[in-house]
Amino acid sequence: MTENRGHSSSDAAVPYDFGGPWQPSNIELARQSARKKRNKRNALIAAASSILVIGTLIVVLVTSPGWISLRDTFFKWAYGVEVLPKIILGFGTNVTLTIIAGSSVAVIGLLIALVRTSRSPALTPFRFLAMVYVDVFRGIPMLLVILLIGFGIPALQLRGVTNNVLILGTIAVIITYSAYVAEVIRSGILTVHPSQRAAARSLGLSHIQTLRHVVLPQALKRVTPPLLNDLVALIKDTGLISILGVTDAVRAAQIQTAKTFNYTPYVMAALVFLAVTIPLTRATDRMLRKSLEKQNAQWQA
Amino acid sequence: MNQPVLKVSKLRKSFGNDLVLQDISFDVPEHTATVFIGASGSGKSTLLRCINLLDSIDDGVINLDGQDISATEVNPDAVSPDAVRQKLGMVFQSFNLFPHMTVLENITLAPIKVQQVVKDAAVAEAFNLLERFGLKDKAHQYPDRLSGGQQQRLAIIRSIARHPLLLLLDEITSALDPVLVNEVLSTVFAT
Repeated sequence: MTENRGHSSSDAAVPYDFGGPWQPSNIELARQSARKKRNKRNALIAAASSILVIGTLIVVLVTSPGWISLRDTFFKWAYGVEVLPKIILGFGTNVTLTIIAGSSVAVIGLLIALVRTSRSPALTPFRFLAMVYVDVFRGIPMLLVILLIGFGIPALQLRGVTNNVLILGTIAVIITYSAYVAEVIRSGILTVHPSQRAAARSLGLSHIQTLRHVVLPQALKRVTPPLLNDLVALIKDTGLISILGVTDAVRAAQIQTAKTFNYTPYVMAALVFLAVTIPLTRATDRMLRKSLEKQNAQWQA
Repeated sequence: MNQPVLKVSKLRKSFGNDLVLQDISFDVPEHTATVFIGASGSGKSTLLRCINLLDSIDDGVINLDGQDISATEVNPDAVSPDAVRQKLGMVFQSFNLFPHMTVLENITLAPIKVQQVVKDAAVAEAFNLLERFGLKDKAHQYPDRLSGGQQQRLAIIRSIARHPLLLLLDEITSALDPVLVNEVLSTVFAT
């Protein structure tokens, strides 16, 4: 055995002598100054183009013939501030429903995805049922599911079954979204390469352990952006329950608009939705990017 | 002469009409290394995957540690594939490291989850191996941050951390420089 192979990067902090402190050569200095100049020019172009585009849009909007009446009916801020508490109160319903429906959908969607990707013969009937379920509820407009369940279940007059439209509406939302989410998660599971399973199984991990520790963590990370898409859509779609008579943010805005024939409450409701969905999107994007940056060596944002 | 650890006889394997392995018989005695040399695509990897029960065989018998492991399908009392794989370590040609786990987690996953080793003990052993293979400072990195040779060493560490009876190595030195080949092989023989 020969010693001192010098192979390891753990041997010392600086394995090689690079010949003292670095003095950039003239050509490198020229490159650096050219780079600086180019960045400056790019920033100028970006600013000029932004001002031009946004300025044009504002000018077109403000000089349009109906601008004054539009401003008075849609952007009457004093009225908007006045109705805001009622809209926010209604938005509380949207948020509550999103939390309840979102967590149920996550569990049910994951279960359906696992059943659909399983190979166990015992699960064959469930695999078939899961497929039918997804086919049916992904294909029916959610509004119809809400109407069918919200008005159909009470019409059955079953003993011990709730007639609460809020609960029935939420169930309708959960049923529909579980079908979407199941397919998103299933596609994520299918993108994990079989060699990852082979590696896990050859390490002695059981089927369940392989799913839990190797397949699902990678699959879920990959489908986080589309799942977030569904979450944002869910926040908005909880508003559809208002057709059953539940007062959410949209319904509250509608009531206020009906009182005064001023549409500012709608704009306020839109702003309230944006105030939640935009930060949520940014936060999730950031989380995902951080985790990818940590995991992947050559990550380009 | 001891009983061989692995005894393969008359193994046959095909993918559809493509016959890959035919009439393969060999013994691997204890504490020895057996090497398969062949052209690319000649079935070396497939042979290892068959021994590891990742692929099913068409005919023949595979005997590991005195047990017929090729009979797991017909004989319900036979050892389960999971039990067989616990005796085997496999290092893949393309590493197949877990990209979402750090180097340390890659190594300790199986000892902790399958062999029920206490976490501290598994981590201590992992660091021991990492030090021997010159990867100690990479313990908390993700595999994608390692060079090809470092990933290869990690794959080897991951499989020997479980103390398998038999190591199946699929072209493990193909990504290493000559100095590291020596290092890896001497470590493999030392285990």
